[in-house]
Amino acid sequence: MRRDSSSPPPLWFLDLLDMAINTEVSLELSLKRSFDSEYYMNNATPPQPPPLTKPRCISPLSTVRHQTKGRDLINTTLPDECISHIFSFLPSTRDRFSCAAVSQKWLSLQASTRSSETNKACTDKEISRCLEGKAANDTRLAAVAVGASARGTLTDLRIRGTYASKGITDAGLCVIARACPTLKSLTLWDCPLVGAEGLKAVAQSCKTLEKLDLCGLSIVDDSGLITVAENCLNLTSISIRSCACVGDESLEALARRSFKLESVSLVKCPNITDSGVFSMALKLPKLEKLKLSFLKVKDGALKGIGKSPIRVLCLENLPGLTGNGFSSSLGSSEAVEVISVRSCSSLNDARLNDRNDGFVGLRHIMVKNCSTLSDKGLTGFIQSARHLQSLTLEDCSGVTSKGLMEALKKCRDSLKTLSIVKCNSLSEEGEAEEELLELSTLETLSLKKCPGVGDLFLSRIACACKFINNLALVGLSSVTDRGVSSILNAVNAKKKTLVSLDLSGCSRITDWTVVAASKLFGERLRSVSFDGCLGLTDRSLEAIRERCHGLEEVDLSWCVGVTDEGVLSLASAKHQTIKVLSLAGCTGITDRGLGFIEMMMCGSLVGLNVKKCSGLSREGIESFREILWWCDLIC
Amino acid sequence: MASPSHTRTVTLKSCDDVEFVLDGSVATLSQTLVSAMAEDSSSSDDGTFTWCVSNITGEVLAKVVEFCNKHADISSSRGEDLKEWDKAFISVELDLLYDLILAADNLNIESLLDLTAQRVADEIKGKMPHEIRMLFNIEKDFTDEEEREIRREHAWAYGGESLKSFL
Repeated sequence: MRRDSSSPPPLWFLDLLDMAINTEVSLELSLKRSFDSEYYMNNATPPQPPPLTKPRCISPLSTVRHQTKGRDLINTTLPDECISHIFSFLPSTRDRFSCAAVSQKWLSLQASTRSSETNKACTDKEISRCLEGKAANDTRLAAVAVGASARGTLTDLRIRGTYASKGITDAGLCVIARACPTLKSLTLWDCPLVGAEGLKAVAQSCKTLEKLDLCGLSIVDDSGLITVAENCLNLTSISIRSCACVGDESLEALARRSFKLESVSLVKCPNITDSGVFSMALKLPKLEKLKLSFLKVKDGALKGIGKSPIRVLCLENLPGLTGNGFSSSLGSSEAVEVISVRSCSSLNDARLNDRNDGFVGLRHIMVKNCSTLSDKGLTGFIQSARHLQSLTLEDCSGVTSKGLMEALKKCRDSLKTLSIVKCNSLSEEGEAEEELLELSTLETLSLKKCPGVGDLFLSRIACACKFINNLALVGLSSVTDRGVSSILNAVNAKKKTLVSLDLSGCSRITDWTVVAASKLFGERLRSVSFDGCLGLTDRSLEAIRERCHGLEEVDLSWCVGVTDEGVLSLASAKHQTIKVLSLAGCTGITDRGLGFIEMMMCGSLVGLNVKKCSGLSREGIESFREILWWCDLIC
Repeated sequence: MASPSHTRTVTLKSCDDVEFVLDGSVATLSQTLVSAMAEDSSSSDDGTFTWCVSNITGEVLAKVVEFCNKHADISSSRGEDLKEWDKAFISVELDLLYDLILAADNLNIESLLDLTAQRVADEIKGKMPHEIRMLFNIEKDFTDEEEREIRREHAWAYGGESLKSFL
């Protein structure tokens, strides 16, 4: 490309010239100086020109300048405080980040320099950050510290799962702790490189810390948590999980100082024993929630709990507990309202009803995976709990129908929620009791995956369901229309309370049940789920269209009998209220059906599931996605 | 410890043995000198006080003394004029600037420290990281991935949220 010599110089040339005039004069002076003092004094190796940018290349002065090896004088001459002082004159976020990206040292200096220009409108705004996986490294954490004040005040920091080789270390935690003393909540999950020093730095800087959630910190020991206990007096919630080096000393330190602690969760910490849990439960005046899981604790730990103000107690996988200890320690507590017991197989229930007046304050009981719980144990457990509101039994194969009925009688005036899941011993054997069980307060009944529950069982508990709002009969493969109808008919006809009906996995029910439910409860129904009810056809949808005018959620997944005609009737209802519709696996639906939804349900629909609908074409789905772009489409 | 600094003269000695004589009132700009003189006042009454400034050369110290004399001279210390003077005073190359910062830090002269730090900050302002590295001959010790992490965080701090709401 040839240029006429008389033509004006191109603009870039002017720019460069300008730059050379403005900067190179002073640069040349500085060059001379460094040349004298540094190069000759040190008799350094022959100078290598540093990489050049274009403007400096063409400057006539640059040739001189770059003959000297450039030395990093700012970092070698000035102490860190002076560099930080310079940074304090660079308040803008952009400049702060530019400096931070210069070198490791500048990053850490920027991270520890408080920004003087805090946006006044921003300072009150509490912000939370979460770093996960690859992003959870010290560099990123320091960068968070640099930017912390740009958007508000960092109060919640979560670090979840760092890479073992270059994850967060103590150094990174020190930086962020100093930069963000306002931190209220800190979550550290799976940070194998973090040790006690990092935790100490946090404790010493962030004295307002309220929540601490530690998981998988394998080298953090008691000294770290003792510092937390001594410095963070506002701590209200602490969770320690899979921290192999944390033991009773930590708990005792917390018991001595953390008087505001309300919630404690201890999971998989092999060094925690009875004495730590005991002193904690006994000494903390505000402790309300305690979770103990996979620990070596024995009955001794429960002794403290019985005398504590703990309201919510969660015991999981504690092989050291015995029924005797459970009953004698906890039975006398009036504070405990919620007990959740899971997989405590040694909880020999023969003694659970040792006392006749125990557990009076209980309101919610959850027992999961305790095969040793028998009828007698269950009845004993709840016999004095006059205010029991909810009972959940899951995987309790020792409880039979008889025992359950017996237990329910004890709380017939207070029980609101009954949930029975996978209790294999519930059956229809034996004679029905003369006295019919009435539960006047029951609002929610759910029976899930209990193979022994059939029509007869349902008819026996039907009169307990007079006032229920939510009925879930899930995965009961032997239940037919007859069984469901016995419950539906028992629900108080005048009050028509039922609002949610879930019959997922009851593969034997037919349109009859749906028609009956829509006739009985019609407009009150808000949510129905017939996932896997293979017997349903378009008639069900016709019934829903006619009578259920308030439905918001409809789940027809795997109702293979449903076709486009059914969808048409659902879509042609006068008032469209359905927000979420699932047609997953409905192979009978084609693009035509999807078209009906697209045209007629667009006013209310926000979510549609058409996964594994083999009758739909890709084009049909794409067209739907384009037209109902706001709708969350799962396909 | 009766405020001795106003009545005495102070001799500053650089590391290469250049001496500067300052009026006591001028020396008060340096907090280091003020506290040193206060400690010393009980022992010596001859009205002179000598202070050796290690690691600062005569060339740099001359600039510092020039600055102090100007700023202590109340008659000349009038807003705009002084600002203009400062601007001219500080138009020096970067390396001398570092020495001045160091001297201001050593002698604890707040106004000089701020002036010099501001000048370096002005050099940095608006530049990209690689431009800053070039300016100061700083070696890049980040991996590309690490530099990206900082940039990502910058993007977040700059308004990830407003971007999100836009999308």
